[in-house]
Amino acid sequence: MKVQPQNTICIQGGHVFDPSQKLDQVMDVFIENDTIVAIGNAPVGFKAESTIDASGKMVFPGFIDLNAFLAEPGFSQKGSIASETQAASQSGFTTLVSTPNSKPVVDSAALATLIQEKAKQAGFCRVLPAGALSAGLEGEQLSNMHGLKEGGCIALSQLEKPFKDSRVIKQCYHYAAGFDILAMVTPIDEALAQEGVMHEGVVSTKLGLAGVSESAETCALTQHLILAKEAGVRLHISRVCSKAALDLILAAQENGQAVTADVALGNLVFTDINCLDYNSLMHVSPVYRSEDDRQALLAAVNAGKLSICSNHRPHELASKMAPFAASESGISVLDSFASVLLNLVAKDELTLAAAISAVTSSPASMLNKSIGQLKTERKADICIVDKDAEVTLQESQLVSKGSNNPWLNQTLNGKVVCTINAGHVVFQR
Amino acid sequence: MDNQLILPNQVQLTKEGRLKHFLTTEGLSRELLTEILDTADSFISSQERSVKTVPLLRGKTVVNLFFENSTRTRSTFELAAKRLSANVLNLDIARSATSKGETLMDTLWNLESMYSDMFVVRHADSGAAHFIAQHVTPNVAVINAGDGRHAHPTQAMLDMLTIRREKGSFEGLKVAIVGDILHSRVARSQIYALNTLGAEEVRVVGPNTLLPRDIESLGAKAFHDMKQGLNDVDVVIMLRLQKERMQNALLPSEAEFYKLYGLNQDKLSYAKPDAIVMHPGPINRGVEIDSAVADGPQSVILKQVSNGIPMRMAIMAMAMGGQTAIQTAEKNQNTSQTEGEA
Repeated sequence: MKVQPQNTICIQGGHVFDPSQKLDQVMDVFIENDTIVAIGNAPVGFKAESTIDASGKMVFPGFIDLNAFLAEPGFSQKGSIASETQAASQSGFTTLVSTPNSKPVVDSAALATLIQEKAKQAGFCRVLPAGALSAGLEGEQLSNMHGLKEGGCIALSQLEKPFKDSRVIKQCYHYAAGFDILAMVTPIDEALAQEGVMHEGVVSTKLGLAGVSESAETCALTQHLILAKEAGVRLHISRVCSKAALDLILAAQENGQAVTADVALGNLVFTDINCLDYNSLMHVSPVYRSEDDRQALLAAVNAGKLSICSNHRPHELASKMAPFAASESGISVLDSFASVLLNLVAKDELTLAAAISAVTSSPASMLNKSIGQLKTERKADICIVDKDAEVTLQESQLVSKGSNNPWLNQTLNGKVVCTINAGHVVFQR
Repeated sequence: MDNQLILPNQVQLTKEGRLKHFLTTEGLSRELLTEILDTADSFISSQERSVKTVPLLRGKTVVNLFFENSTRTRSTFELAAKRLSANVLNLDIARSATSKGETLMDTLWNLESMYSDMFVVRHADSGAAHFIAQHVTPNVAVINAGDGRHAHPTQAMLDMLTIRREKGSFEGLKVAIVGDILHSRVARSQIYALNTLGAEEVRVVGPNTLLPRDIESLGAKAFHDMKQGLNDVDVVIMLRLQKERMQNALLPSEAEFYKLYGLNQDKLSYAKPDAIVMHPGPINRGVEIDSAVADGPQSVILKQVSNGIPMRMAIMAMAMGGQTAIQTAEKNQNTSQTEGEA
């Protein structure tokens, strides 16, 4: 006898859109428990316990973020796993890769497990932790890579933190390659970057702020590409910000190297010009570069070469209430992610297909995970979006604890109306 | 994005285009810069009288807020404020490595609660004065006494005053600024002021490692050679070279720098015969300038120092005037509103 499903949902009349599955038409989606059981016609005998009317709306796979700082443990003034994953769910995210720079750093399996447990309790998003690639992110010793993988880490990351020397990089990659671990880095040559707080160019000269040169990015990137290739490790370059670096990655891909990359959403929107008024919200890492760089990054997303991550860095108000260089770097993104992304589509800077792939099937394939696609027998991770609705986010509506959201009070096109995570409706408005 | 940028040169002006803060020389009109110079000129005559004070800031409180140590600049601001009859409070707050925004904001809030009318701010971070101007309560004027590498507009304006008093006008003038342009907030403020006031050509001279990237976009021609850089100029402005620049792979040695860029009589001879030599001080004799030149007939370095007081008086008086005008306008508006309601 077949066990009667406890949870059945029919998403009715939505425009189902998933470029990876070549889905682009109005049809129904049927969910049983945590799984998509059919797209199009209802399975025989399907009885919907609840129906979601999606007419006039778009139905996308749930979004995947490759880079979100959740501030827990260690930074309760900036956020918590519950607050930040809830903010993410309101932007249509169903999966987040959390960064290892909590306090303590995620370099033990116990902590990796704890983070996943906390996320499960909160119930908004699946959190796949990225563990530390080097012990304590100090760049001197190998972390317990195998243990971290066993503890559920999807990848091991060094973020933009420096390595003591090139030998440590080589050893990290060699060790990781042996266990088929994905390594994530944001290469920056610390010496070349010096105390840089923004893109080096006309604007930094004008403002008298120390700049991060393009060469600080490309020199380090070249070194990482060479060492990763030698070790045979799967490498993911996180948060590319210059055209020059992008070109190096694309060339390596053409030469057959197993390297993937993403860009932070902010780098598709802002440039160094936005720093002109010393707005500390434009103090980010990695930096916003020139308009030429922004255009090259947009083109690469449109060509399906880059995923888009949030680079979410929530901060309390005080950490940004300081002169530019003295403020903490980073912006809070998750509350606004979907609207900002869809606004890029509305402004014809990204195609809808490229924008959606870059936050669904593309990051899923970089993580080598069977998520991010609307497909039967897959987990029912879905977001429903009113693409043309205008949204103006007010400070009082922020769900993330980060007050450093640069899009407050701006009117954007595109609003998530419902997020379903593994068959559970976790957000609806 | 469609976000409106609030630029430093907009923050410092009232709706009518008058000064209410003084943060940068960039973006200020020729008329306004000329008015500042004229006002300073008028204070020079008052300085020569036996009673030197004027009552323009009587009853006002000026706080010298120095997050970086500077005895000289602070003293001239203090003297200038006292000659305007203001009450002066000096605060030397050495900036500790751990002090982040909270400390700065807390300091500001504390000072505001004491009902100050003007902050004279020096800070190691570029943009600090702009930040403070945006976050203090209205009616407090902020004067930038140097922020990081960004701007030192009162120094630039006292240099402009010195040039105008020596040369009569800026028309047709060629000016060379020599040395460590990279770390110099003075040079940036001078370049903007000189261009706006109508100088024919502004040059910067130094080795590549001491010239910031894209410096020409600010309106200065870059030279690496003193003979070419000083050729036919009317004004030579030497900048102070910090000793720590010898580390960090910026310069090979003091000796090589002096040989290439140190201003001696020989190199000065490339300039026009009546060229003047300036230096914002304090000077490093034998590092960027030879004693014979620093003390020689073409040097106006000490005149710069004495021009510092009337220039700072002019800027403080004008910024306070702008703040008072705003308050008066608000008061009038409130009165007319009350009358309307009655």
